[in-house]
Amino acid sequence: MLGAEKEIVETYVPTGQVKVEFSPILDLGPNSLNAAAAAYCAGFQNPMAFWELHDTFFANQGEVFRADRDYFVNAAAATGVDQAAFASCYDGGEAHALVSEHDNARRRANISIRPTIDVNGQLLFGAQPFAAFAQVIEAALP
Amino acid sequence: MIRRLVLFLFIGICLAACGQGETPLEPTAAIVTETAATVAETETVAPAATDTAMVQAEATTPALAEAAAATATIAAAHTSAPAPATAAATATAQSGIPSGRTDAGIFYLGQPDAPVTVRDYSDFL
Repeated sequence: MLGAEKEIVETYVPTGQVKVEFSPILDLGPNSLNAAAAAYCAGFQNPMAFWELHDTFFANQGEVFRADRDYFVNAAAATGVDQAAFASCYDGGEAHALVSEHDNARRRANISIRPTIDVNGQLLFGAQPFAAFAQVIEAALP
Repeated sequence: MIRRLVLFLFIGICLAACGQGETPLEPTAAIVTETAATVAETETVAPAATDTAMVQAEATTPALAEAAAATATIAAAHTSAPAPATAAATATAQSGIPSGRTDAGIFYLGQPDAPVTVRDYSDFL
């Protein structure tokens, strides 16, 4: 969900009004998990690298769907994180386990529609135009 | 005349051979792309099963409480893990926007104490 999310970030995050979080949904096979784990591993070194890979993966979903380990290693390296440390994290399985646990928490919360956007507890389902999110966000602002 | 005929025949055979060599590649790539797109479309549309442009729901207290408890448990389970332990640090982009991870290990972008939290549950694929 890059389109509206990007606008949300550009509009509300720099002003300090909104904090954006990302929680993985693993629906589309092994690379759902691998991509999220790769982003986590990069983020463990530098949280901004997580968001860089977040944008990269959403912009190249076709590639990510077919990606192999080298693709993720190279994508992470492009964010400036240490490549060896990234590879160690990716191969170690710790990030995969954490992603899976976050996904399990999502399932236990009965969130099954992709994407689901939680705005201070109010859930919006499916891809929505920015205006739809803006309306809910504005209403939630103090 | 015969030489011309032989030349045309040779060119024709070459073109046919080249065409056969490329044929399997295109459908394969198309199938992979189409499969990904089809899966994505199905996964997105099927659960929602609605034609309305916008669907909202108030999160039920039990659901959020369960999610909070679950993420807290996850955070506790990973406090001794090497990789997540190094993730406690926050980073600030050149734009001055902070980023980091919540106590549950979820990545965030923005001021940690922002009045509104937008959590995107999604799949990178």
